[in-house]
Amino acid sequence: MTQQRQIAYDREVSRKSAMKQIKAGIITILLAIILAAIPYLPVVAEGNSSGETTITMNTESVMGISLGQAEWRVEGEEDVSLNTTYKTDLPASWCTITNTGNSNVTMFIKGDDAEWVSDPSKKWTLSSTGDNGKNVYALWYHIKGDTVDSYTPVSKDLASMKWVRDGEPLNLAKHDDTQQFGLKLLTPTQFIGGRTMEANIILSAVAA
Amino acid sequence: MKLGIMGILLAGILALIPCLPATAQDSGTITITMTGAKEFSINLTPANWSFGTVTPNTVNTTDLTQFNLTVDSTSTCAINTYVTGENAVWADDPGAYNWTLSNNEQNDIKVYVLWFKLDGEESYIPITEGPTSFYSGTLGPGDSKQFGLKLLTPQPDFTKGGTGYFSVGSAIVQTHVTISAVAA
Repeated sequence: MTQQRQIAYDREVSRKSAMKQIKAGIITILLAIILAAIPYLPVVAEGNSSGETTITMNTESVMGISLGQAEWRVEGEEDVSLNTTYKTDLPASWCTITNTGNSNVTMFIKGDDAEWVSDPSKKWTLSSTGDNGKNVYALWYHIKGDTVDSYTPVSKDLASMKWVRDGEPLNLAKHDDTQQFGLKLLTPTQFIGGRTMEANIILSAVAA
Repeated sequence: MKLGIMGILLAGILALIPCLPATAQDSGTITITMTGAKEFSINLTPANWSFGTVTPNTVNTTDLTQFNLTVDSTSTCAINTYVTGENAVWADDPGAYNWTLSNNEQNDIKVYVLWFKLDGEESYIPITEGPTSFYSGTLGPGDSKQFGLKLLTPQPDFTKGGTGYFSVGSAIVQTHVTISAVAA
């Protein structure tokens, strides 16, 4: 009889212990859920909690460029030779173009025949192909940063200055933006010596 | 005899029926607790506003009823509101040109100032990148507030022919004003 009571007692103790464990487990689970929910509570409370408006302002534009060089004496005080190529002393950065306005501009270039300063009717014609000839000279430009040793012919037609590397136009987007370039000249295969020949190159900025 | 016994049993059963629930019944109470979520929604209009063409170092203002903040009527709580601004950027190339939003109501080269003023209030309050109280009280469901903006543009980046200009011309410079809310 005593043994039966002991067994019953042991069972009761075991049952209560199990209940305690279950309760502890439930509390633990509830605590975990509460802790897990905490990060979401502010989100639930906030809803659509902000509104935004976009404010835009337009700026006035003014156009202007400056050139860092106004003259190229091809051989200084020396004479140039027939059928000879000359480059500016800084092949890529001889002349700096600066955007002195604030417009986004692309650059255009135009050459002209070289005229004898004593008699402008005596000329060297500017080649349109890059090939020289009798009293025909050729002129090219190279933009700093472009494909190495890449030159683009300058003709008498106003043409957009473009990068050889990707064909994109030379662009100065905002005030104080700069680009640099150099020139290359090929003298005619025949000319009359002793004449000082002068040619003008025009660089123009056009709103992009 | 059998019929009589069955009749008595049936009568007994029938008599007991009303007593059965009372005999089996115990009582318990269930308490249901719910806390309504603080949910709200606000709406700011218009979503876009242009000051048009602006020049350096000039003040530009909107009407005081130009902008409207509304608390959605289905919101379930009062809210506190805050306003923030940000740097203005060249829309075409934000990394290349921008104006910093002033934090001291002073403009400078590439530094602009922005204020707001609630309709009916006395003075303009500066907007900075940090949160500034938009409305001193709380706003409840269905409430709305109208306000205007004042802009002081930066000083000129350069001068040409005696006129000041920004470094980018015919450009769109863009910024955002944000009003945020938290449950009161």
